[in-house]
Amino acid sequence: MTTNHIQELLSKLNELRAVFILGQRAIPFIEEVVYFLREISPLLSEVNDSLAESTRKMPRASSQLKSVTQATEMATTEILDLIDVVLNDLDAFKKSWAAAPEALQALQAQEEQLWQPLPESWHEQLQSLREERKQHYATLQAILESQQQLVESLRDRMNRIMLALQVQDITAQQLAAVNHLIESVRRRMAQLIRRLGSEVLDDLELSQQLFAEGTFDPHARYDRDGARQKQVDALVDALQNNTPLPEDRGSAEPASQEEIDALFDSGTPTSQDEIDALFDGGNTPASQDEIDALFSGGTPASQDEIDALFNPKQNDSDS
Amino acid sequence: MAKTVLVVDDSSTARKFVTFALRARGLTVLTACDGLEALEKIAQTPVDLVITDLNMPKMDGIGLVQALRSDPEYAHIPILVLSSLEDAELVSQSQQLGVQAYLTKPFDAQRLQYEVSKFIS
Repeated sequence: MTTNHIQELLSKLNELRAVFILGQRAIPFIEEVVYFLREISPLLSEVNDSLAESTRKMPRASSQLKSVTQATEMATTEILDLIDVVLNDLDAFKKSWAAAPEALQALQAQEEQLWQPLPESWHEQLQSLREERKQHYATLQAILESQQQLVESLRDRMNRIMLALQVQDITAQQLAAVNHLIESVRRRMAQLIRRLGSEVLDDLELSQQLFAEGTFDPHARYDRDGARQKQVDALVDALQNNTPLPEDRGSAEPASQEEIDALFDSGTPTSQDEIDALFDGGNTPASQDEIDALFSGGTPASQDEIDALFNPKQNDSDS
Repeated sequence: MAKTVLVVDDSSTARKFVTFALRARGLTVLTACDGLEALEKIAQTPVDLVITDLNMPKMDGIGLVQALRSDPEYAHIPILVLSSLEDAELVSQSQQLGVQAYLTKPFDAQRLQYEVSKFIS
């Protein structure tokens, strides 16, 4: 072995020592990282469970919304049926009373005829009675007219109630849109949970069908002033006359399916491998014992040894 | 003889509303839940007018209009759209397909009766 060889060996030993020194310096940091990972592990598990729980609750929320729609539909139908009955009754009432004013007039005319053959002296004696009866006839006539007006007014109000109930149809569509949104979010969350490798997926199977898209209008709203109809009329006019279309309203619209998809996809989707790598740390996950072993390394170094590693020159001079 | 109107809508309440508004004018009203059922009903009973929603399962309103317009036997039947959708593209498409009137939900009964009266005298 030449001097050069010895020098080279010493150089390599120095390099090796530097590596050890670096390793020793890094140990506290790595320990902190491991401690952090140990701390965060149950937290991640909790988040995962929470996601699963929320996802599991969604069908219930969706089902409750459907129940609300069904209940309001049933109630609306019952009210409509009752209105129908009331309208029919009013029609019958109106028909049965339609002849009343004429009958009253005929009765009054007959009575006038009955007065004629009576002697003139009776006329004077019965004048006050005759006037009183005329007043009664006039009162009856006024009552009949007011009854007819009342029937018309009731019919009008019934029709207004009936049309106001259209709100049920509109809210049903709005609820269907919310249901669709919930189902979409649930599916995405279930996919996320699956990606995270959760073992609680058995009861999260996506058996529930999405509310069929295209069977509801997510933009439906209860517009009582007819603004929507006016907009459509303006559109139709513009189309028929080949004039420029009215400007788009740009209302605050609920998110479309595409928008929801975009929110979840956020550009570059993360692959399953990437997620696995994040959670598994590669193909061969290290056990806690393995990690401990890495840091324990058999016999722990003494403080002097560590100091020596970090201050080699001083040690050399000491010796 | 009373004229017959076919009301096509997947909402039972919406069908009822329209039925009420038209029956008040002495019209006979048939109903269907979607486009396919509407075609079946039309095949069984001649109708003078069709009022259809757009958003429906199985066959939507546009599909129904296309089916009716492409069949020489039914091409002459006036069609009114009654929908909560007010999208310009849909209105334009409906017009191009030969829809006679486009009404929005919630509808005004008098306006509906007026539009119907234009095609049923």
